[in-house]
Amino acid sequence: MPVFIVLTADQAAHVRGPALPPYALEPIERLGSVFILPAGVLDHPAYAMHAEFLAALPQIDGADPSFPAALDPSED
Amino acid sequence: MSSIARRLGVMGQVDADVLSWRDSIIAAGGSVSVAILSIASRFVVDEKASGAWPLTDDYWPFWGENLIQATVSLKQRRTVTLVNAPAFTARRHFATDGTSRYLNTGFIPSTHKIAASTHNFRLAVYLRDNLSSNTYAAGATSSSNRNLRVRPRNGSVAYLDANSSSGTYTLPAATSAGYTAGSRDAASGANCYAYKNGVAMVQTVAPTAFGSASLPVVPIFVGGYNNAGVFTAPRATSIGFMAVGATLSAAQELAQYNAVQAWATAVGANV
Repeated sequence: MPVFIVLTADQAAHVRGPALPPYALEPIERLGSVFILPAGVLDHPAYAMHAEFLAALPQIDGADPSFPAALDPSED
Repeated sequence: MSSIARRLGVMGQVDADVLSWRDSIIAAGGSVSVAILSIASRFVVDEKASGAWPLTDDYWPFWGENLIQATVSLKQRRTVTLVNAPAFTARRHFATDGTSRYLNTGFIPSTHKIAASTHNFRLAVYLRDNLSSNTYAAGATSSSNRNLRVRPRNGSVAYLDANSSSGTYTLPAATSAGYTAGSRDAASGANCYAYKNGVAMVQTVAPTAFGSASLPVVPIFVGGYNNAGVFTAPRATSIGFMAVGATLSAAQELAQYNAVQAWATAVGANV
């Protein structure tokens, strides 16, 4: 399973936004008010400006039982 | 005369809309080979011949030969934003991961529509993978029943929303791979349509509620859908092409599928 970086709301706000065009970072909110990003962004050149900050954050395997669940999709 | 111009001269005249697309790609730092100019020109000529071109508001050939080319839409020439690094494979697709990676087309249906309207909309996607899942390949929604979404396969059916609640359609074969289109041209279940590879699908559940205020006011996402600004119901998928616009006739649906499949085959992305 892929590995994800775990962020708080403040950390998510810090990195959210445009990166090297045409890329952007948008941490995904999960249950428990935590946010995730794929760990693959760490070595992606488009996100080099955030690499050092993101590398210091905790990571979790997507198959880990503690992996935060998705927010319920609000189906109409 | 440059060597490129000489080669184009051999192939015949390239469609002016394709040249505008090429110029936008070059301005963004990308490139378009002579071969792709020819392929894209053939596609546009075929679309214009069938009458689908004026009814289709935009096209996204995600199977571009380089990243920049794959992120510039063909008709309105909008640049897609790649969110959280979806994987790009040249001449094939963008791959999303079903969790966090997606594409933001920047196409806001309510404001960027041209041929489409509140009661006449169509969304089509060309997927290169087969996945049965209660998730969406693409879409946008901004309030109840203002849904433009494609769920290309969950079990043996596809779910398609054309500014409406979900309609359900029986897939001719149980696969999400190929070209799946959903549309409607009036506020009635009988006016909702779905096609797989250019062939009409049988409607098993008709939409019963229809957006009437407007089309969604948020951009269409790919690899899930945009739920009033929130990336929702993500799907792990490989998408090669997408189109939005107004409803096509049965003959135009088939013609567009044939044109899309010809482009896919020419670059090796066909399924």
